[in-house]
Amino acid sequence: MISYLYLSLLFLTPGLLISGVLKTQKKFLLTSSFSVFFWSISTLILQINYLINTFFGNLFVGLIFLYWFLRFRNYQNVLYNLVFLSILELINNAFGILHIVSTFSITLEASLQNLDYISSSVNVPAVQITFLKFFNDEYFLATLPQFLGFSLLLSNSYSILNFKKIPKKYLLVIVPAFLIFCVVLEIMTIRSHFFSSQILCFLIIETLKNKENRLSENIFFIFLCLFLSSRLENYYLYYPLLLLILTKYIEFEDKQNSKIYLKLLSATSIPILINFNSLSGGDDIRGDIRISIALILILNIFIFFKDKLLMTFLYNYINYFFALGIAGLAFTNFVLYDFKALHSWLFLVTHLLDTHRGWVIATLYFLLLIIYLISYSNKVFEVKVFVNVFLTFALIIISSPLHHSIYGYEQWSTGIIDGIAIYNFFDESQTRSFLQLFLSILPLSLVIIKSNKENMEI
Amino acid sequence: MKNFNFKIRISSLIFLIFLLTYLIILFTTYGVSHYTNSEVKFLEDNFSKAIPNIYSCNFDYFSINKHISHGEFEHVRFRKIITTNEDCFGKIAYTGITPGTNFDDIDPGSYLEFGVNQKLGYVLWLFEKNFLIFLFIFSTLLLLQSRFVKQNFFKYFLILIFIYSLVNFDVQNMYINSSKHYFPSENSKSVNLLNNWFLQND
Repeated sequence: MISYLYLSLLFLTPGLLISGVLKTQKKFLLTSSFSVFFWSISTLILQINYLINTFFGNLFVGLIFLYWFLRFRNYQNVLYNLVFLSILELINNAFGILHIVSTFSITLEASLQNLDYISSSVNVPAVQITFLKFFNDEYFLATLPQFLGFSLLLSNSYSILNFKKIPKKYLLVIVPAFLIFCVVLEIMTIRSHFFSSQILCFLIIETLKNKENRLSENIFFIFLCLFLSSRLENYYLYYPLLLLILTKYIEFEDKQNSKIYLKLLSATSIPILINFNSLSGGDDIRGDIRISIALILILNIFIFFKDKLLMTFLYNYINYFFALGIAGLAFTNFVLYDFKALHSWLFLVTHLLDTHRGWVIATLYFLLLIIYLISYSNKVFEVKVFVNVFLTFALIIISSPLHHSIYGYEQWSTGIIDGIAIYNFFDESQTRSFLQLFLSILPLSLVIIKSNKENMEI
Repeated sequence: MKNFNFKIRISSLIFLIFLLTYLIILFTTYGVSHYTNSEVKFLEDNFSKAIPNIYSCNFDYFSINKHISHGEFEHVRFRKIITTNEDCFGKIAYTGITPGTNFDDIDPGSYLEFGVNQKLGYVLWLFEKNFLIFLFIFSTLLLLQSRFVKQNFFKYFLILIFIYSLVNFDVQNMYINSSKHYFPSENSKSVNLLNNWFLQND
């Protein structure tokens, strides 16, 4: 018990301090995200690990906690987070709710290297490595991914409920998704997909809000930074959506205020530094750090010159260009890989439509959600966002040959499909990306349930 | 409002048409003759409460599933495998159990694996009765939504998903390649994590 409390406070202290500084003490559900933001920097600046694995480091964190406690006196914040984390830990220790997969061992390997002040080139994101850094001889704080994911899920849901003035009981609307077995299985792993999905949802909600209802832009940019740090593939899969969201978000801001562009540049480039070692490892496209740097530069240039004619034209037709890009990628894949590309797409479709573990239910639910969200939106921008989400789904499927050509091993190179089980190494990463996308828009289903058309906007 | 009515009507209809088209393609690939139960009857007559002799895709997924369900085993797994052999679409490819073994001689808790052949891109919905019921209600709701556009049917979809997922949760809570369940997982408890990953690796 003492070990558990010790580790929990060690994890939460930076978040408590950041929430105090940013004056979000009453937003209890965001505190853990601030914490993971701070600790994820420890994959780059290895000396930060000193605070986790040495007595004097712990003592220093303890003093910071004491300072926070005396300075801000926000007892509810720490109490809420401790209780929520305790509940998850208690449930896990009583029933065993986590799903331990091979990712656990490679992530733990990276965490241990970091705690030994060695940088790790295992290509898992910094946020995921941070999940496994909080243990001692007596206790292993294992439910951090779930704690972070559910905290942010609740935060996003409450945010929508409050602005729409929907009764709290409607929170039940999101429950059915968490009974779909493949969803349960994914959120119970030590991976960052669930957390990442909720960060994206947070960014979407903040962008859809009116300026006066938004949280401080510093918080938005911290979450943007966290989103790009939380999954290495987020740079690629969500690039058009980020272009869309960021252009809109900055639209309200003072165009002469250069600070916001500096913040944007920092928020988008710091993740490259945080994930520098992870981005340099691995065999796939994510392992080429030059592409990530180029993408971030283009994104910043696009936003900076968003009022220019060319950029306005691109922004107005962004989904058309995105769809054209996907078609181009499909054609390129087919030229490069021939019938093997077709096999990849069909494998993925078969997996997503199969009844086992409820994959088909998740797929139908996602498509249904898109249909309702598009139909209920009466603003052009909202429709654009949801169409873009659908196109991202198409991108996940179409890009699968690029992934399979690296991880499909012998079956891929020979093009053999006979005798291959539909649940195999070919498609797991892509299907996980799909679940991340699905969970990203799940809290928005609260907007649909109270179907008063005049009351649809967030 | 008009705009909304139009959008929900069109999108529901498009979704429904896609679903039905795919279903028709599945009909032409796999057929629905298994619902006549003739193969199930054949299995009952010749292999009453015993494991049948499976060879050259002689039995389909639906019949074997129904036949094996009489044994009330806890860990029956159907591993779905891709084939290009048209004669084997929807058929059982193999089993690890000796043909002729009586159900009474098999421990109800033992792991029974069957391989099911399927065509790449064409799932086996037509052999899975529970899912067909789900799909029927789902399609009906889509149809109703496109007809009665002023009503919001989203909550009914949610109720349907909730019930289906709840009913099937136990069945899905199983590893495909062993008799183990995903949850509860002893390995994930704090003490076991420490034991498995640190003490044993010292």
